[in-house]
Amino acid sequence: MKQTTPSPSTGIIETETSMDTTTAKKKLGTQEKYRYLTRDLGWEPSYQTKEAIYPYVEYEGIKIHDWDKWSDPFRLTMSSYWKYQAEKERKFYSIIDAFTQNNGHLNITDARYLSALKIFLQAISPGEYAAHKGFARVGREFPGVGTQVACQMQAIDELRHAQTQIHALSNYNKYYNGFHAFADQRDRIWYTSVARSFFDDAMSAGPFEFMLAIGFSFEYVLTNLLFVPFMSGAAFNGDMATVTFGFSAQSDEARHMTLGLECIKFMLEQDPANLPIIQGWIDKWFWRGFRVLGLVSTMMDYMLPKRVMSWREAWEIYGEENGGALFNDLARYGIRPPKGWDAAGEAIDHMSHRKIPDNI
Amino acid sequence: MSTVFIAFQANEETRPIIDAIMIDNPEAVLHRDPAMVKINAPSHLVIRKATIEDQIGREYDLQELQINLITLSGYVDETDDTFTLHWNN
Amino acid sequence: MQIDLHTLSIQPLRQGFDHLIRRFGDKPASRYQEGSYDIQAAENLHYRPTWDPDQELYDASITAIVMQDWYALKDPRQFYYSTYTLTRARQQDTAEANFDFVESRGLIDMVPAELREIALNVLVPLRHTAWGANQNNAFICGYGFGTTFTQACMFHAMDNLGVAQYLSRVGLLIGDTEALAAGKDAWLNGIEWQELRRYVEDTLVLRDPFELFVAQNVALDGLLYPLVYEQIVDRFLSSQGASSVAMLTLFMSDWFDETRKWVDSVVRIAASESDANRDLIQQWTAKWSHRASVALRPIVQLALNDSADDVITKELVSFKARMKKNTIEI
Repeated sequence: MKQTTPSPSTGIIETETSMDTTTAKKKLGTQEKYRYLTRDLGWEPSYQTKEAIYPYVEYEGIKIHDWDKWSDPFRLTMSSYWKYQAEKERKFYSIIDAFTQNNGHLNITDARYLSALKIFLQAISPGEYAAHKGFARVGREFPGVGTQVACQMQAIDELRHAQTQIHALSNYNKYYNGFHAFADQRDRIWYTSVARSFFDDAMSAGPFEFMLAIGFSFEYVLTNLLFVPFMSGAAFNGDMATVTFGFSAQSDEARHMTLGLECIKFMLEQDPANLPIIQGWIDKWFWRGFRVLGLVSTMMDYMLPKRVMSWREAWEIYGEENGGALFNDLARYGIRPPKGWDAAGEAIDHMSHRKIPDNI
Repeated sequence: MSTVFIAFQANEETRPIIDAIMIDNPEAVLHRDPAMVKINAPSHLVIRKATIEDQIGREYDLQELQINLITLSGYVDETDDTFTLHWNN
Repeated sequence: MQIDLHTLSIQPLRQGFDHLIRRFGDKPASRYQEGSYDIQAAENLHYRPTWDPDQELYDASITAIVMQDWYALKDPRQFYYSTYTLTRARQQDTAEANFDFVESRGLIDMVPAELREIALNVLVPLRHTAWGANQNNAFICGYGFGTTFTQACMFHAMDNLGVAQYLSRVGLLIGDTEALAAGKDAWLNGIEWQELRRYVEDTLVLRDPFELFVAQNVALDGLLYPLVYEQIVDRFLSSQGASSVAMLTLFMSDWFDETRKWVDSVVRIAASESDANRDLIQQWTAKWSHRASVALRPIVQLALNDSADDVITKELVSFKARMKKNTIEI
């Protein structure tokens, strides 16, 4: 009897026995195997109509002719998801626990640094939770299995972010003022209502616009402008807890960014009629996201005892560099950079200091 | 021509991954920060499972990259043997 | 000799967040509590959805069930993202080891052909049923109210995807890609599967999150799992010499045992809240479990033939007893 030991990730072996007939199984490549484990799970319904099962995918005017053309760049099975995410969780909580046990908060440059984190807990963490709900919904409402699975994984990733953030900041709440009422004040603070408005608006949008708003505009175009200032600010000011959850969350973000980019590419390639709708959304959501970053700009320029860089510098490095490569690439579909991009560039000297008039 | 990049946490697990990437991408540029390593490349970057396995001395699943990944830029292509980033311009 | 370990001890200003102190008292909260209670937006929602302007973005009235406090639906397992993922990671390790064990020793080839066929016929189409369960639980998470309830549903959705993928791998292992094609054909066209497929498609258009919870997690899975994984796989197939199949479906058996506690808790707490809730849940449970038992009958017959009716009757008795403990009489 001849046997070959399989590689667990393919799960296919060739066996020959002298008693049974040869059963030589096909060696499936990653892409093909993933197809069997995801999109092949779906089926064309006949007892209910597709329109009844997926009622929200027509009204935005986006035309999709073939959901099978969706490409899954990160082909995570649930098995792998659980395995790798658990690895990240183990590392994350052991660092947070060590930080707490060693009174790590004593190492921050100055207690005034924590203003940055109070904004985070009130403006960003609720946004993570909103994104969790939004992705749960689109993870159900899209009629393509590959897209649904990617959205659902993002849904629990966002829940992860909300919870790891609350957990990381919990210790600060014990020793410093201003964190204690985050759940009560979340719905009431004028200053952070800009972030709330952003996410509520995205949730009120249809599934395609939601994907473009969050998956593409926020997670791809603008993510570095949120992540780098907060995380660098934390590192420069001795806040290990925040650096830890920042890095830990970012590894999920790579998957999210890729989902957002795939989504826009997919929509553009499915039908030329989608182009003007998508361009309109890019224009709207770039500007909405840029306004949210106003909170970050003020944080960078005013709230860090030890400053990392100015908002101006952050925009030049992370806004212009990132955006340039991306919109150069999307130009072949007919996409142009968002309206307001130039205004954002012009704002770098005063964004953090005053309100920009809306007629620019 | 646009730059692609990938960034990892700087720790013992990523050391051989970074070495492998620099071996397979002669035009890549490495930038080290205390907590993060960023690798830029002109329009294309490939990570090969075989090269990493040479570095670490065990079987490696490319999906393990995700544990220490911080961010990236470019379209992602994943096969059993390679993980590639590219722009089309 | 006494050793005193001195660490720098600083008196905290407070023990926890305000909202948790109000709920649970002036003491440190658990991570489950911190990550679950009151983190959903509650007031001053900025917009109404364009996809259904009759709803609010977070809307307790989408369901006919009424709760004073939806956060009362605490998950007895206290799963938040971290504990959930760590638990499942351990289980998937065991599942991988089992698949490896069965594959590397060619154990499936040692199972008599007719039993291999029964395993394929029963299990492979269920990957589509599990995909329906995934979508339904994603719905309940999306449109349900209160994090303690909805997060558990999202975990349940991902679990069902995991089940669907394990079943796909069972199919590939026993019968290669042809088995998956045959299973899909049976799901779409096989006479034994149409009542169940109709059931699943009917649940996919239910828009009351709690009724959907009953139809999917209580009624359908409450009968499907004991019938398929306990009766057919663990009892029948194993006793006939196909216990290697039970190794491949271990995740599903363990998972049902664990999640049953949560499902029961949700039903019991919601039903105990009011007579109106209880009446509704009773109606839904009676209606959907009756349909489920009819839908599952031809599938159980695929394995158990003439003893199917007897097994189903016994299982319905167990189900009724289980519901009775949740204050639900059907």
